[in-house]
Amino acid sequence: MSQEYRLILKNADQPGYTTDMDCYLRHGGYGALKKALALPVKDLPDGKKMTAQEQIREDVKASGLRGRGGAGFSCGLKWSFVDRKSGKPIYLICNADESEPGTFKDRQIIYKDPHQLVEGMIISCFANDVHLAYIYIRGEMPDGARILKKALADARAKNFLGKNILGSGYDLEIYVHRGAGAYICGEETGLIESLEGKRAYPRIKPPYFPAVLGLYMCPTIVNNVETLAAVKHIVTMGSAEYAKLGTPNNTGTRIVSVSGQVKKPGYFEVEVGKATIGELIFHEKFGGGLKDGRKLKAIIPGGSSSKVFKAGEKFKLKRKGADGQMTAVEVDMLDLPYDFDSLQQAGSMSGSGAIIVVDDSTDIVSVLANLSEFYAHESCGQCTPCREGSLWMNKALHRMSHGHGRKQDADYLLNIAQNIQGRTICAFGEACAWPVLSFVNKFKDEFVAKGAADEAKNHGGAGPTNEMKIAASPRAD
Amino acid sequence: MIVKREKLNLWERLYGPAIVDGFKVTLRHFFFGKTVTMQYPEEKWTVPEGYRGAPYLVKDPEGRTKCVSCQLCEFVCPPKAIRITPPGPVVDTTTGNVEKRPKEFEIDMLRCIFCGYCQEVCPEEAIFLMKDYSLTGQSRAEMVYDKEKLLALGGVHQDKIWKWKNK
Amino acid sequence: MSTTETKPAPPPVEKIKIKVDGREIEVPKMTPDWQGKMQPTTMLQACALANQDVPHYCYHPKLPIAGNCRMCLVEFGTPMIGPDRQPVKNEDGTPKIAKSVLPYEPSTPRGAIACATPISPGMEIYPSSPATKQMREAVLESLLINHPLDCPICDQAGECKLQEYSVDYGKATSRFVEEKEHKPKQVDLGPRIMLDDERCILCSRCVRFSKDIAGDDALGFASRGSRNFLTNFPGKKFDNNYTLNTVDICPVGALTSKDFRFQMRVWFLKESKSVCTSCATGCNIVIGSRENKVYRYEPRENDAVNSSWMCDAGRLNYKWINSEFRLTQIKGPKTEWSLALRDIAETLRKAPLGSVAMVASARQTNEELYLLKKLATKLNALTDSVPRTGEGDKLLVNADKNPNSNGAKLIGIAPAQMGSNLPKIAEGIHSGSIKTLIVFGEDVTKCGISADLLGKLSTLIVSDILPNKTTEAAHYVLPGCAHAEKRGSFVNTKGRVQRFMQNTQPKGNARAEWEFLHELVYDVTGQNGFVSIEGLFNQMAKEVPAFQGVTWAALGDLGVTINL
Repeated sequence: MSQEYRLILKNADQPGYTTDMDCYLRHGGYGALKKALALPVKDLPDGKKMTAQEQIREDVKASGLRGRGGAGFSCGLKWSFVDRKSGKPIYLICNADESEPGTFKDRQIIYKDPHQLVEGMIISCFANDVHLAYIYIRGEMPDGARILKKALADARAKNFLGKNILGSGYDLEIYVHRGAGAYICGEETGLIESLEGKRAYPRIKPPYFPAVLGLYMCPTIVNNVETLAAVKHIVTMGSAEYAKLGTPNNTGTRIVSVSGQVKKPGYFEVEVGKATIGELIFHEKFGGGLKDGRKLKAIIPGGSSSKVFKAGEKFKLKRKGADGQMTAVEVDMLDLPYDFDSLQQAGSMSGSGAIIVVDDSTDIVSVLANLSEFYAHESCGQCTPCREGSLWMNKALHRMSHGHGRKQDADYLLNIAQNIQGRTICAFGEACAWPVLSFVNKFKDEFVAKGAADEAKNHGGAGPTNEMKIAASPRAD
Repeated sequence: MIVKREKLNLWERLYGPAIVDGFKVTLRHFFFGKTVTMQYPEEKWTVPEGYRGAPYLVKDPEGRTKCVSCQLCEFVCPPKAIRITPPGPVVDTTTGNVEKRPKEFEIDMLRCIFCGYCQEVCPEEAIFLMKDYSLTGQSRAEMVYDKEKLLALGGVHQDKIWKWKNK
Repeated sequence: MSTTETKPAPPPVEKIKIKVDGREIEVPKMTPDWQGKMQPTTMLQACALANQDVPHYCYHPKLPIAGNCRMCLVEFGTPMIGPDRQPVKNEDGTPKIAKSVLPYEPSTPRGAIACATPISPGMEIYPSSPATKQMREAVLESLLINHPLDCPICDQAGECKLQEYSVDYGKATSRFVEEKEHKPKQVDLGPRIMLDDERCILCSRCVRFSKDIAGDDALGFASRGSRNFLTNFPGKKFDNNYTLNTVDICPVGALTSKDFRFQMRVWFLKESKSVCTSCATGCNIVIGSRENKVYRYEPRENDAVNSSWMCDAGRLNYKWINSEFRLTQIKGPKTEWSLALRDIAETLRKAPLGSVAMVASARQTNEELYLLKKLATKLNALTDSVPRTGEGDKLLVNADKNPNSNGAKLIGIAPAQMGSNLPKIAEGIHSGSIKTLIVFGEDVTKCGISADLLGKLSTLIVSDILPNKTTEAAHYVLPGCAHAEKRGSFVNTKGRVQRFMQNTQPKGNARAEWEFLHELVYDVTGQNGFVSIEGLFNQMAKEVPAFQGVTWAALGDLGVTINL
């Protein structure tokens, strides 16, 4: 299926659609909230009663909604982990700290249809008995914060927020909190620390699982903007209808950001798994193909921290046939359906839904050097492997991309990266190690060739020189 | 068992030839040979490379005392001949990152056995066994060499590493 | 038995069976955390019970867990659970263990930080497996790449964890060919602390100590990633009474004490267990000295008294021991110990009952006070000590600045209201009823017995370690010893009897007070006692009711609590 399916962004780009409350209400806004608040108590066959909240939670679970932030974890399951018996208040945080390189989807919702997020949040808060929620918006998006603050004020004026919402007896307050200007503030527990006013050092898990010991050591739900917006649609459509969108276990729609060396970079809302990577890059309704005369070299399928795909790579995917048997199918990289499971089987991830396209005019070492500079700059520096490793890799790559490589640098980099992944407090370790591991593994010949050429050019293979060391000192700030 | 003594023949029984034979080497050296005896202490022996004589302190080419008073030589010294007084907490701002050097450094040359452990253990290449092997003095106190004396005797070491330049 | 050591039998401890390096052990399910609250036992604690040391930098048993150094990563496995939610068994019936692996790379083991990961039944921990070793090597390598490696000028050398673990897990050469990061050096954090940011491994122990123990949130990290550095908050000096503890807990040489800085290499220090004498808390310490010069005090762990900490004021209060003004010779008609003591004994024996008074010090040991008490009883002397008060705090500092006030009271040298007999003694001297005064370790001219009054005495016998107005007026001055130079015991404010050991030799001709007091008591009373500190203490424990049942040996390193 090579066309967009606009659900969340249905109205966003329509001419004349604004962020005003009136405009949102004209388009049926806050209908889902009214519906949710008015849900009657359901009698179950076994005689038990199911409250409105439980029904919404059940719906979200049944819809198969998976988190749109990066990990793709089931939203319903996440909600079910929340410790509801502790007697402590439950908090909900909307993670709007969108800062993964290549990702620009959440800001579309915030800038163009903020009330949709607010409505989704109110419903989610209602479903989880939350009375205080926060929108943690990236510090570099002051406009977004302004728009959201206005939207919240408008909602308060209409009694969609505040005390006794629409006469239901339910109280909720939502605050906008502007982020502290670091990539790590988007990490779930780092975000919580930052929201508490501390340095955004991610917490160790165990024991600090947000569902039990989150914000102010209370149970906390942290959801992505897109996920919360989708909740609104699940309530409107019903879980069964929503689950029909997309493919099994990869339901709904998701906004894909396509960037890099394509003719038509942009964001496209598609049903999950209904479009392949190739379509998203080459189809005229999406990326529109590469620039003339260029050939595809690599794509980064899910935000800069996902593992790279090399052009022409083939993967064995397990597919469930019509008879229910699992069969292995060989698929070209471009024919991979853009969903959570297929990309995971191919050894990468769909992450935050950002495809970055690299064509053959680009030096792959420089691409990786650029990526690693981002991670060296954004590592919070709390735990040793990532703190030291990220800058170490960056220095080595900087040196390589400035003409002072060595033949052994490919293995040197792989070894450093292997010593980071899986040994850190948060997933940043993987995020900075995976690009290096995948780039160097898949383009090893290029890395080795570059190192060998540099060695021959410089000192006939002599050890590191002072020029090398100077070249290996990227910006210090 | 009885060993029968051989009878000496006539040539052997003459003493003269044997005496001349015995003096041959001596006389050759006396009249024709090079003099090997040294007129010590007026003449001094040329010490070969690698000789382990008395340990002295050295300065780097910039004139800074290389010793940083880590006291490893004091620790390792088998006869406990070395005695270092660390500088104490006063910050020396003139030497950059080399924050430390000895306030006093003494080697008791009467105790020193020229073993070379101090040179081997030194992480700074600040103490070297030089070629002096004969040290004299008129009192025990005079034989305790202090920092100034050791540095003056040690001279400058042509350092190739410049360890502290990049620290 | 008057000790409070006996407690009702604790409730049975719930135990968990785990395996450490293949050896099965039973460990308690719960263990006290840094605050003493019961928390699930961690892998690190379990490994310690199995005598397996897990290397670590950021973990400290008395601080909240941070889990950031990653040095304690260990490979582990848990019993495999089948789809039927039942444990999977091996062919021989033992539970099958699923080793923890990276979810995206099942061939690579995934370590867990031993300091924060709780154990679960059937868990297997592999603290000495090749994978664990590799993880430690990788972390150590990372810590060293930007380290200045300036051990020769670093005060921590010799007690540095970075050095120790480098021996175990380090490599002889580095493959790091890039430029090192440079950070601030010789940073003046506060009046007693110097910081070298390049040496810092960012373990955050000092940050946590300042915030959570000292209650002075003065330290934090700035910048990001590898360029992170420790700093004090702008405009706020790191200056509380506990700052020097951060020097102790700093695993590397980043934080150094300005007092001890470049004074002596630690491997030369002779260390002995002692007790701080600066207040009635009696923090357990280790005295470090070389060639009879005391260089530093360091706190020694004792949960009943000071945890692992001590205050800066107490820690720096040692310089008087090395003072050049120390009394080193007997002053008086006789200047040799045996003759002088015999002379003094004669004077005392001849003195009419009640004409002798005694001012002892609550800074003296129990044993000395006990001997003085014997003397006082024989001579029917009026006795007292000098109270000394100051400011206390909530953590360790006590308002009572005498280390042994309770000892003085229990032994009966000081009345319940310490110092209340001093005016009576002054009055006695004034009226002439008191002709002989014995003073130990106090300058009585500061507490109501003026130098003029002292002039009225026929005999003034003083023992002290530093000269003062009283020693100037004395007929006999007997040079005594600082606590570092003798053995003895104190009773702290909570009734903890703690002993301390000798570290240095007495200065000059000085002698430990209990040694010459023992001789004096024998000469005056004719009672022979024990000539060893052990025997003396045990004899005192028998005779003084409060110490009933306590022995010198039972005091151990940590002391025994008695009822006050």
